[in-house]
Amino acid sequence: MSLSPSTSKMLSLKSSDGKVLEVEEHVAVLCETIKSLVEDGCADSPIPLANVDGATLGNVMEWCKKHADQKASADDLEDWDAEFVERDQGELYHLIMAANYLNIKGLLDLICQKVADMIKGKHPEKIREIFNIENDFTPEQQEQIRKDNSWAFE
Amino acid sequence: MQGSRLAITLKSLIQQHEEYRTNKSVIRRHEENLKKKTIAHEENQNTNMSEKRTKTTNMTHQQQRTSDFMSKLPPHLAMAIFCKLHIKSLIYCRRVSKVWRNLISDPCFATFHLKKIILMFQFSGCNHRKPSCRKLFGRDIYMVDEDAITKVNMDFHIPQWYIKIIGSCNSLLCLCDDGPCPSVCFYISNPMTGEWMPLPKIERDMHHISGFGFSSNTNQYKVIRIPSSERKVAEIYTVGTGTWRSIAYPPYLFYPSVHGIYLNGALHWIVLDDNRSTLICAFDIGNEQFLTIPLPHVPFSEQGRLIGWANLGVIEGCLCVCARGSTVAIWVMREYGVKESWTKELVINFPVVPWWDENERRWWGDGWFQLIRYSINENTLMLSGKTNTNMVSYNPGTGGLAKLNDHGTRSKIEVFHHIPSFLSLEDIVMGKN
Repeated sequence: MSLSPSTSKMLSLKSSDGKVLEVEEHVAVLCETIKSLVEDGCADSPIPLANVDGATLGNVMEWCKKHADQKASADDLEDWDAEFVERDQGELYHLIMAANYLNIKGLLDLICQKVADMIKGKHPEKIREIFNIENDFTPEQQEQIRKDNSWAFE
Repeated sequence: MQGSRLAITLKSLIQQHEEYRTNKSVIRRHEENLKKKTIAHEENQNTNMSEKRTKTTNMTHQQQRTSDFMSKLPPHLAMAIFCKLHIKSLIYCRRVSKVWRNLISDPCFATFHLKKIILMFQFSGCNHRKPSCRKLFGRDIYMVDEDAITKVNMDFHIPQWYIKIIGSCNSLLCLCDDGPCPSVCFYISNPMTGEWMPLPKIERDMHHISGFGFSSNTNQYKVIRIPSSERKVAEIYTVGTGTWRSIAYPPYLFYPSVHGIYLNGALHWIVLDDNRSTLICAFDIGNEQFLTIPLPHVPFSEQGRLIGWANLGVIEGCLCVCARGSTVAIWVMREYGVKESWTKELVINFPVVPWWDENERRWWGDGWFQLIRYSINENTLMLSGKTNTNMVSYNPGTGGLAKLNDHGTRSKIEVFHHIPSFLSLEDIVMGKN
């Protein structure tokens, strides 16, 4: 089956909250999950995506559309991606889950890298603050950890 | 061409490391565990979700921020994020919360995600009897993770300037107390978790050589100490047994203070036999036998005698020899134990070893050069090496040479490949993972 842009067949994707999105096939097949449905000939009726809400699906397809664009240069995509990931943690969470469910390696990698960059080089206290995490170590455990890390790394 | 081949062989190196770290049944068990965890997590999420839905039907993304991002994710996705971090960041992450600590200490993380090799290096040439020398150089241990160099402070009950690295194997370091006491103590440590355990003390021998390795056949870690030749026995310790044993002294002459190079369940040294011919001696950690491995003909051809100098290393999962005659040549044994498979990988016509340092107006090094690793940096092949006064990197593409260490020391550097993991020392030593 040819999946080139020239065919520009439209696919209907139905989100968990019932929103239907019309997407060009060559864009939607960046999702491996959808690609295998298309290849098996199961993509005729609206494809139900039970784990992705409408807003997230819109964001995912926006990313797919940009990355399906053959004219976009590598530099252009890099800049575009950097802007794309500037989102709050709630949106990033939904994007990771959707990229995992729809099996889009490039998007999953991008979001994971973004979250890793939020952690990189920061001390535990700062990380707790950023991710709103409660310090659940008991004082004894805290002391043990402090001791473990007296190997610590400068 | 060379770059892409190396990329492939680097991949195979990582695979090989994985193979000896784990066997297939262990991998299957981990995969099942991970699947179970992910399923349990999804069920948990679903119940949470339905509970939340009954409370509020129109929950926005913003409101969901109140719970911890990482602990909401299925474990394999949280681990996919953690594996993008440097080791130093992971050490901080372990201190964030119990959930984060458990994720990083999980065997699945060590087995499937944290697949990297770092370098541990130590300035070891310092004479600890001179206080000024201690202060200046110590026996500081550094960790090199990609471009980041981090100093490792150890919390032993003995001064750090007595501690010497013997070897690294499967995320464990073997260290030796080189202090002035009549008995000597070896330690096994996981530097990533800061855990360490002492081995029973044995009598001091100033001129011993040592090695540390693992046998996947017997699932045992062993330390071997080969004292100066007049002692006539070598000593071996199997981790977990509590006593040192004696084994027959190998019929070779060892160069002093050279630690065994670990590969394929064996330790390797360049030695001389009774005829003063140079060869490689391999000690099989499993069956405790000494074997010999032939060296490439060139540059050892003159009646089997060594011309110049040579030392051993491991690159791309293969044993390699870095040999200096009129040039420095890197030979790689593509097929372990097969003489015909020795391949001359690289020849470096060093105009600069010994190397004249323009700023300091002095010569560096005495021509001793050891291969540390190949790495691919911006599609060019980088070769790092060491002289006994500094670490240098060499770019075969451009012929460029650069000094890597700027730590104000001219003492000897020992460098070890290390596979970091956050598993507990006990679990690694007992072979649980």
